[in-house]
Amino acid sequence: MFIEVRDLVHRYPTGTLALDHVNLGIDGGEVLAIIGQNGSGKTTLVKHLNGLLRPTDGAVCLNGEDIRERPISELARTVGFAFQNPDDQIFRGSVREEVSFGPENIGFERAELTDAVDAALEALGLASYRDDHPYTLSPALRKLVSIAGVYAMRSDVLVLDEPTTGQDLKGVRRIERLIESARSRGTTVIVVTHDMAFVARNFGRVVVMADAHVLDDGPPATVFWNLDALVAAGLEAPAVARLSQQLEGPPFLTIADAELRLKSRLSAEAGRHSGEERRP
Amino acid sequence: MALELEHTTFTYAGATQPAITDVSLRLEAGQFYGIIGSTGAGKSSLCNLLTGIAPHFLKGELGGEVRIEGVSTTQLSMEELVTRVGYVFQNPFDQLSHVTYSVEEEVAFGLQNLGIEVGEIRTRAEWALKVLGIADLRDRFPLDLSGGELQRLAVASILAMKPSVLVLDEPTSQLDPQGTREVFEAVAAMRGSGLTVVMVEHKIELLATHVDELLVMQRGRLVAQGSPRQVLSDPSVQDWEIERPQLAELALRLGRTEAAGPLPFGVEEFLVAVNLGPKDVH
Repeated sequence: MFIEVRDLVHRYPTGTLALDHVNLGIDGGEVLAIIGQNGSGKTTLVKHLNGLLRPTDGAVCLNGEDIRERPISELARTVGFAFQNPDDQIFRGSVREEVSFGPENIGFERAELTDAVDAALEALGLASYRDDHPYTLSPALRKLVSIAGVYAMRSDVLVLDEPTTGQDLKGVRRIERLIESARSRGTTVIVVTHDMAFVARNFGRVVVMADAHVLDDGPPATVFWNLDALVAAGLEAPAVARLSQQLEGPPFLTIADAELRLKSRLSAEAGRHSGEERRP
Repeated sequence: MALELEHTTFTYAGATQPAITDVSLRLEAGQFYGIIGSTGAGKSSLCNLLTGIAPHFLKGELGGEVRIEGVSTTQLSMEELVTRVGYVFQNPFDQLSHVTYSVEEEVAFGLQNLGIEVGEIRTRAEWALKVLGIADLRDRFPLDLSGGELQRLAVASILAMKPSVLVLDEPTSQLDPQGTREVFEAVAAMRGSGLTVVMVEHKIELLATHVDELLVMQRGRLVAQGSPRQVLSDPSVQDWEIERPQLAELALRLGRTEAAGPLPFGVEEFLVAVNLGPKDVH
């Protein structure tokens, strides 16, 4: 599934220009993060991918076809969308039923439905809550339930709007596992987020938005080093990347990478120090 | 002592397990406290007890005692409680009156409801807007503000009631990085006026550099309290299911020991701490 956003303009009825001639191409199977301040146009952009919003001007094409006229109900099979606020989409009596709703609605047969729902619950570590009522769960878990419901639809494209908000360490790890499992299925994953460490750990491509424009687009090792664009977008690279920028050598972005790199460097220096010590 | 819990246990009405189990703590006036812990650890329940919302509003069985400036919360009316302890919710939207047309009116709204005279309302509103750094937004329509501005307005509205304690439950969860920094900086600056601040947050990088003390909750119990460097150096951090700031974690993984000085949070601190490492070997 190739997504092409072409000269996309969106102006809200209030007059606010939320997208100003945005161009973006996303290949099938890409795992991409969109970062930027509140109001920079991130959510407006992704809402165009499944027809929740329609262009004021320009177009969104899926596999070369302009989706302007395609109904949301049809687009939902191709592009699954998990909202920022889970309560916008939760309304069934049990976690299992809630997660079944999407795939059921797009016509999954019983065997496939069970399989998809179980896999989604498993991927997000929700299997033990399957019979609970969603509203007895904490808001953080409810959010995972709403994400599972979208993941279970097995759409070609999965869009998550600020999935890690309000999640603890365990919740973030669950979302990371889900992204990994979507990636291994060849699903295109597009995530809007404010969590820079999460971006550095999980995404091959980062799109930076500010004031209705795309300001930068590239792998994290490039984007987090483009300080002018980051400052203009009001963002900051994760601490480990900022450390890397102070040191010589190739960039590192995660604690694990930094540990590997610095361990060998420190032991080399320690070796040199103890060598000096032995000199008379 | 601004707030004290003494062997406090609380079980919500209808629940079988206590949400808070045998927690004792002392929070001093003019300090900034961060509460951390995984989902369901009891962070919000602790806030409910500190603000008196439990057991006044959210009923349940309370064992032990919660004292605000030496007085048990069960002996204070809800009116007396709200003037002592201000509570800021996660979503600033929930906090707004939605009946005012300007930032200044919004800050005055709560005070009018408390029956405070006009001159005093003006003075307090002015002060609160200044403390939160939003005085220049006084004439703006609240719903036109950015997320960070809106949350600072929510804090200002509560602050204007002159509570001695301010409790904030994940006040930046809806905010972008810039809005988040604005709220942290504004809140940290307020403790100079003697205000005690208690904030529940997941954003450990910011908590570590802004709060005086961290409190760690796990399964309804308080498992650690101390300065961020002290708490985050503890080897039990993993069991508590919390994260360290990235550079603190990295320094520990690289074998940094206490002899090397304080646990680093920022890049400069890290470079110093790790450069010391090799020299300490011999």
